[in-house]
Amino acid sequence: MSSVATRTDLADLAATELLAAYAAGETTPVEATQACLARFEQVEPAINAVLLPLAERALAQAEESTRRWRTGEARTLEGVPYGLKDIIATEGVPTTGGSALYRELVPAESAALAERLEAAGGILLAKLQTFEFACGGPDNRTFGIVRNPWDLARTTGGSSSGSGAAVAAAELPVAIGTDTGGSIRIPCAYCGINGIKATFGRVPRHGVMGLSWTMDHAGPMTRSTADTALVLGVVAGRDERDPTSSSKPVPDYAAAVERPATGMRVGRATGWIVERMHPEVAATYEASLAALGEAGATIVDVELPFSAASDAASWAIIFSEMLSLHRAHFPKLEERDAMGAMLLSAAPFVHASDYLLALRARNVFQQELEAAFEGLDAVATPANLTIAPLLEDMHCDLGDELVPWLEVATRTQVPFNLTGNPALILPAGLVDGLPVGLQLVGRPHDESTLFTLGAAFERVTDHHRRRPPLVSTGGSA
Amino acid sequence: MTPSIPVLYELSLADQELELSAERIAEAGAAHARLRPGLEELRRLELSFLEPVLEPASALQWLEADR
Repeated sequence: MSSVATRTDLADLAATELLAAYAAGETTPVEATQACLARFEQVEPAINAVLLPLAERALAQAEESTRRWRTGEARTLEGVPYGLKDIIATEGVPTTGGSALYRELVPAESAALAERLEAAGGILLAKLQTFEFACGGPDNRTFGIVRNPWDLARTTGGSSSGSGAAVAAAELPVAIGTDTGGSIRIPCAYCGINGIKATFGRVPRHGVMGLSWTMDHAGPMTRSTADTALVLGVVAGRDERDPTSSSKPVPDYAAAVERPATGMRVGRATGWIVERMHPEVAATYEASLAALGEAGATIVDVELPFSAASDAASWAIIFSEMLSLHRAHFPKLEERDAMGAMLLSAAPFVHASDYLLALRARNVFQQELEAAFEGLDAVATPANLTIAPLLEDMHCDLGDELVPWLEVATRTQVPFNLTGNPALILPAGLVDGLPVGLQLVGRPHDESTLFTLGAAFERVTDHHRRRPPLVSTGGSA
Repeated sequence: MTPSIPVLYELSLADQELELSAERIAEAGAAHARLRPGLEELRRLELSFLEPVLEPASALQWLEADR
């Protein structure tokens, strides 16, 4: 053996790096799976990202993958370990929703995206922690608090808390999260990793516990744009069991990663969406735009059509659909975690007329955003407006004031759940030793342009290669 | 006289056959108060009665359309 696989702990390799090492005969899926399990031992006592480890099953799958590489039968993700947020159904494997209410649930059928990952040769290594039902808040009283690998006193954000922490601590190269108002992208930003909320409908939601059926998205969380593109290519595409899934063909995202970004025009978002931001986070964001310029893109200002009205439309939809989905759980409200109970208790007070108005108005915001895209290939926003808040108070530091987390954390995120546009997160630097991210938003079904820009950004920066101190200090940061 | 928000909420909950504690109703009131200015702005949006009429399914159809 030689090269990358012998110089590096295999757990630290990205999925595309692992696949290259398997192809070169430098290592095997069994060795990589063992390395990830060793990383579990190292960091889990500190971060609690894994809800259910699946070592025995994973090692058996890894043996089969190792055989396939030997016999030339390797598939797209052959031997790549991954984890699933525990609201994603897995046949024969408990799927709790992060809730005591479903602690004993063992689905008879896997989610469409889980079937696709398995069929592509991925190795399911763990079910991962989540805010209860993807909205319960960071203090999960059934399965415990997930801690940010960059600072154990801080949140990972959520609701894909375990997915963010596990990928950042290199317990796994790939996790699948879900995103109704930022739940893939906020943990990516706070934990310094990559991820995408693709266009609404691009990834089928069959088998994913619902929070808000017109706002819910599922997608990959990884440590590079190339990995995000690779995994999205596996899980994307129509599934008849999800009537809202898109019938559009899935492009070759891997090819998009190789294209140059030269000549692309990126709008720097102005307006409501970036009104409130910590000054140091703002400075880091500006530096990331300069790097995007170095990568070949031209940056121009663009006013986005979002406001308190679009925010209210988003939350009116989430509240209404959440209550519809969780009505049977309403009598058990006091058994729910704090944030979820608060959100669900507010839900009955959204009038049907406001919900329907919000559903109708979202097309206005879509069309206004489309108009803002005129002459642009993508739009950039900060991924996070502040660094991750402390778990003890969950308040965001804007520099001159502390505000409750939900007041600012979803501001750059939920508008694109409302419009359905794809949004890619890239690690963009550190502020006080904590990650901040860059968000690139594309036209509907144009994830490819985002991958081109993201990969170009990574060729001129090294933010995506930074690992939290926890990993280098043996799990005791 | 207009009933207070907590009273309105209690009436609304009873009508929906749902129950919440007084603390939860207060919490819900606070959440609604934060949403209220945006909601009022949203209600002022003028959506066309005549063609093109936006319907709840319009947004998802728009995403799937070829442009």
